Amino acid sequence: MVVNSIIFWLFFAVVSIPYFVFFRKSCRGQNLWLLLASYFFYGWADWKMIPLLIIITIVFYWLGLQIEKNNVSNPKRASHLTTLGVVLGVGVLFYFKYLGFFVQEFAHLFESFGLKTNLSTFSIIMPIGISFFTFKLISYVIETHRQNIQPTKDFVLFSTFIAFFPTILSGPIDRPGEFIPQLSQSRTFNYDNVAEGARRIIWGLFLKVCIADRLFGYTSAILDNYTHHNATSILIASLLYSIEMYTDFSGYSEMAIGVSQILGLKVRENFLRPFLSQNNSEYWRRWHMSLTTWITDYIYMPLNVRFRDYGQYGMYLAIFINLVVIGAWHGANWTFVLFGAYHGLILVIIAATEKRRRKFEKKYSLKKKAYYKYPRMLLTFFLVTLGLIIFRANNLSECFDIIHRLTYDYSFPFTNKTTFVFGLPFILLLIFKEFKDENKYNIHFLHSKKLSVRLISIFLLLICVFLCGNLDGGQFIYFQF
Amino acid sequence: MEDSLYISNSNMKKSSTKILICFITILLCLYCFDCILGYVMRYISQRNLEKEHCGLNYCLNAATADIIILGSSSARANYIPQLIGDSINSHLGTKYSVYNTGNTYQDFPYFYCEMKSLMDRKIPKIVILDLQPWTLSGPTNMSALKFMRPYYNTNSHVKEVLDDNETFLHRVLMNFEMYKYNEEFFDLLSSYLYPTTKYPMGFWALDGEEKDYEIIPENDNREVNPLSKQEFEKTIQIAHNNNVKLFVSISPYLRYIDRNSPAYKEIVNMCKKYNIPFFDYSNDLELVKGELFHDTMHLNKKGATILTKKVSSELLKSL
Repeated sequence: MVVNSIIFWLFFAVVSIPYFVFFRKSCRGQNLWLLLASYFFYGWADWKMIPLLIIITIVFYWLGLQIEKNNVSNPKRASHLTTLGVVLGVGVLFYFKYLGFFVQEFAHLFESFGLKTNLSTFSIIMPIGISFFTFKLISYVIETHRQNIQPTKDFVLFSTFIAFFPTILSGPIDRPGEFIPQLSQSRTFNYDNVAEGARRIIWGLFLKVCIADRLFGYTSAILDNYTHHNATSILIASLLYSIEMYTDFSGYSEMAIGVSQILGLKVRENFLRPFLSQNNSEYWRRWHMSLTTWITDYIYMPLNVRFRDYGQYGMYLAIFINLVVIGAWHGANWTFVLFGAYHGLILVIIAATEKRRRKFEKKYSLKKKAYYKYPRMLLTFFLVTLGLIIFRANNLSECFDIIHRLTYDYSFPFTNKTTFVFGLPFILLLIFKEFKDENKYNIHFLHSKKLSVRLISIFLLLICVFLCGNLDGGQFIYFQF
Repeated sequence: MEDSLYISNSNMKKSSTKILICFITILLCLYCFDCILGYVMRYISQRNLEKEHCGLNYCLNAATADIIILGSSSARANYIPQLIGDSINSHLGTKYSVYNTGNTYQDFPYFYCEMKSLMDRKIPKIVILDLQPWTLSGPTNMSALKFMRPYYNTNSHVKEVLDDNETFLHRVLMNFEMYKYNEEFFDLLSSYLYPTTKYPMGFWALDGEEKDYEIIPENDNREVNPLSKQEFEKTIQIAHNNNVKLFVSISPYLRYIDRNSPAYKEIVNMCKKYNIPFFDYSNDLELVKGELFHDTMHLNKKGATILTKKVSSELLKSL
């Protein structure tokens, strides 16, 4: 049941009507209803993994209460319990997501020495959304230990926070300090919330079906069969893949945020026009923000403190590790590690040259100059695209082969009518909107002060979705992570 | 407490009313747009009927020919109707017309609609069915069916096929013009606004040569799809029941085709069973050359000319 399917919208209608009509006076009732709906939604995707979700929720609920109990009376025990929580969260993630990969890598290693293994059929089914809900659980125990939050005694509320259906499959990754207090109050049907939620859903739907799914046909045709295509086609497909990735994931995030907002719950923003970044460091502050801030708070900051004796080099090392972790979070493949290392290296270079760069920018007053700003944006986009070539490749040799093929044979590219006819005009619309939002121009179609303009904008977007969108499109890219 | 509850209830009522009004307004506008779109598209389809190049619309609603070529994009690029017509007419002294109905990704449900629609107007004398060696293995290409959605209400055969193959939800959505014309409106509109004579008798000449290629074996070990087999039989039955001479042909590809694959063997068996002339050019060394191919799947015009001449001479032997 994906959020861009009719089944989901029927499910959402069935969930939201009793939520606002029968349970509007009871916060507990609303939470219980949301929890049941969330388990149903998760079960629809993968019912066999519901017991795992329930068990892990019970364990972390208990851990939260125990950590709080011991925080003052027995800090050492509280610290041990927090470590246990972190190890457990990481362990579950490692078991389901990475163990199969490491076992197979070891098997290959042994086989390369001539030793026979019987591990080629070893496989573990990964529960959908595990990377997202384990991060929520880990942040819960850490925040409780740091005494930034009071662990909730309400098990239903805690379970709803973990299993909340709009975000469980692909985020955004909510923080307990922001989300749990919202679940502690009853939510009423509110025009502003519903209208804004609906606008975000429609925009997200537009991004997914009119851009991401339209580009998918071209990018998959080229990049899955790159040996049959020339460098021009591979370059175009790679550039379009960056846009596909962005619109697919931000489309999902917009819909998840919109659905939550209709239910009266505010979840974290995930994207802030990342392709308008002027360097890769800024790009990572705008891309998948709920993950990058999580990793910054729980990995980068502690590492930075630990490495502070090494001065600037310690900071560079922390940055590099931070990005490698972000890369590896995406899955068990060396390409993800290389993707992280590639970005880590760029960020280290940016950090190392920052002082000189700022001095230079100040000296020539370059910061807001168009001839300085836009080429940097383009350069960042190309560097991100190169990273996504690594990210998308099935293995390292494929990744190097694609990059090698980009160095020769720039002849006439492969064209796909539907991608270019239906995809490109909408990309231009997206670029226009991104610049408009970035520069805060005074034209806001979806957020105009006039109701008529807002309605016409929604109407036109819906026509684009139904008439030009790929209505037979597939899953979201980030579901696999 | 009661006051705040009263305010909350009253706010909720106001909010609900406002949301409902906006929702109904947008729905009404969408409905009106949908009706107008349907009217405009039906008008354009009707006007496009005279245009041969207009692909599916022409095949389903206007084409009449004595010799029909059925198949996917390989058929469309590989068989030159003009050459087949000239060859047969000069030898037999007939005045047969030929039309190539090949279309991208298409499969048996599409062939069925085309054959039945053509026969409603005029029963052809000869049908050349171009199959890929793997046509009978693997699932039917359901996404290709969407090409036929605009004709759901105007062509009973299309309706029959779509009703059989699509889900209940799709059948409900078929009541909306925006769904039916999704993506397809562009082709109809562009061929109305910018008519072209680039594709005579449905043939799409491709140029270029495939330089960087390697002939690799195509091993298809998949089992025969019973549904595809049934559809193939259905196509044969239609031809037999209407006294249409059916020929099955397999085009060449820039790869080595395994003739022991279950799907290939099934095509051969079915042709034997129903006494259908079968021409296989898949591993023809005269044709499997890079300079005759546009890409690994489609011949260029030079290749298509050689193949069509071969097919024409085989046809003459069988007639």
